[in-house]
Amino acid sequence: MVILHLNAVSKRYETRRWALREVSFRQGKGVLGLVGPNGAGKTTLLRILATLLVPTEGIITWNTQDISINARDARRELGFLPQDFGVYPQLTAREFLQYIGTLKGLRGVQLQQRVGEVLEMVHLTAERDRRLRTFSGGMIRRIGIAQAFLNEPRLLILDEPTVGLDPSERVFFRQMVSGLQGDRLVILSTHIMSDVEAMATDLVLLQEGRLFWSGTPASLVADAEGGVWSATLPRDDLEALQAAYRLSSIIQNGDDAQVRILAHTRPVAAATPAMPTLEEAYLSLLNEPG
Amino acid sequence: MAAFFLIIRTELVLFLRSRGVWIAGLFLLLFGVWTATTIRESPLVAWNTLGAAALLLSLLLSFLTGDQISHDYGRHIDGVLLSTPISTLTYVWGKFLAAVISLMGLAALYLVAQLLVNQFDTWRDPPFLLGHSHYPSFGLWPFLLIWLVAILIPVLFGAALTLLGTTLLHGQRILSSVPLLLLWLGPVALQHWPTWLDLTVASLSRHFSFDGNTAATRLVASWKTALPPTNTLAERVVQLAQSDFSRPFPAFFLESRLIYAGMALLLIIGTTCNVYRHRCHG
Repeated sequence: MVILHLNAVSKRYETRRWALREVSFRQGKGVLGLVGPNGAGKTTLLRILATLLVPTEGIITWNTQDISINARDARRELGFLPQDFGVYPQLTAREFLQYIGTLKGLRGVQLQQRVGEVLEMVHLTAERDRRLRTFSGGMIRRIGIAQAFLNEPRLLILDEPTVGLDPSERVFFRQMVSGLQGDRLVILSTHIMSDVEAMATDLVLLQEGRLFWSGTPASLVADAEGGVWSATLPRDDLEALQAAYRLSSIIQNGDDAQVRILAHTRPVAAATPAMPTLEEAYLSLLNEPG
Repeated sequence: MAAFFLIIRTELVLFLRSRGVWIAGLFLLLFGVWTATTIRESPLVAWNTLGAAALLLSLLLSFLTGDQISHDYGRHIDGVLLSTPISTLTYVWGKFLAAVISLMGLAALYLVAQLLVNQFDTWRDPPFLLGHSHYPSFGLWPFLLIWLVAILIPVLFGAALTLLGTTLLHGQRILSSVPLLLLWLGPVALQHWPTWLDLTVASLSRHFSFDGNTAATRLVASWKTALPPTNTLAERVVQLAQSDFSRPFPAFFLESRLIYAGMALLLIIGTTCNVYRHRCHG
């Protein structure tokens, strides 16, 4: 059974800026959504988990093994898609995946088979012998996803995996991650809350390098209950309302506007309590104005 | 080992599929033809011609590569590559050896062009900038010798220096080229450059007085008639010029080759440490 355990993990860069402070949590198999505003430390945490950075303080164990000490063992079980994923444009899709697959320890028939499977998985089999320089941004992202899955990792780290994918590819990707079988942990960092809603079984929120909240998506929504309001107002009132509260959605309808408002108390007389979405729950929790 | 050879193979594929390599290859072929015909026109300064060509060639080749690791950083491939179980040593040495093989391949084109041109007998009125061939074939040895002592080690060292430089400076070519230019042009420009630190054959040329006072130049100077020379004189001149390439090297020259080969090794160790540090500390 897979267990990832972070114990008071901190990271300070040479600039003396703390990117992470004393982050601790324990996670078993499933899909962990890692969310937080820009600069919250998500990418730093993912790079530490991908053994590309060593924490300044604290310990991370993967199945009881310290990944800083046993980095090579951890890398054998790891699949990583970085936020900025690049390729060698001179290689074909198949050559590139064979290259990464070999570095991950795959050989011979097994390598050929896995390359074929992941190309099929991301719907790029027909393009396998095309040079990567001819691929679109979305296709390159799919190659990134394919390489992360090559070694059937038990720890799969995906940093903004759906950026650049079109809506149908995004839906397909969500289904793929949600449908992953077996004893494995997927850690997913994203700004797109609908991705988290569709895939994550657990959530960790980071803010200013610290663990701010952790739990399940359902418990996050439950925590935010009573903090979201719905109202239909004349469009002329919108400006004043926006100045006072954070609005999570505005739907224009003739002279009126249907709005959803984040507020701890009833913001206007016409407002009625609404069931928060995950995105609204996240915004409420970060104590945004309203 | 499979990963090591795959890195070398992939780097070679990337090199061969890059736009500039075929232009560079063509240039080196033409450069080889040009130097070989120049020597056949004027064998008296064969050593200096081949030495200067070797300096230019090794400098040019050193500029052609060295950015394999910084390109991985720049293209954002490093995150994926370095999160695989591959060792840092395998990664860096694979990149370095691929660079050396690529450069040696290009340098071999230059040598092959020289050897092929040298197979021809005398000729007159060649096209373009090529010289007349008043003198008989020079044999293989001078070309091979200069290739081994004045190209092989400098290219090995140049590849190691640019690899470390561009890796440390995140691909900044101009800054990383400064030490390269200093070490290549310093011995030529400065008379008092330490001989044991001379990567070129400039000190050796001065040591042997190849700069205008050889037995061959003295013989031709004593000969008063115009070109073309008689067959007997041409053969004698070539024999004397060839003898320049048979002299035993002085100790300082061999020391300088050993020093630069050792420094190449240290530079690669330095690059490995730098990549290891990057892998751990970002």
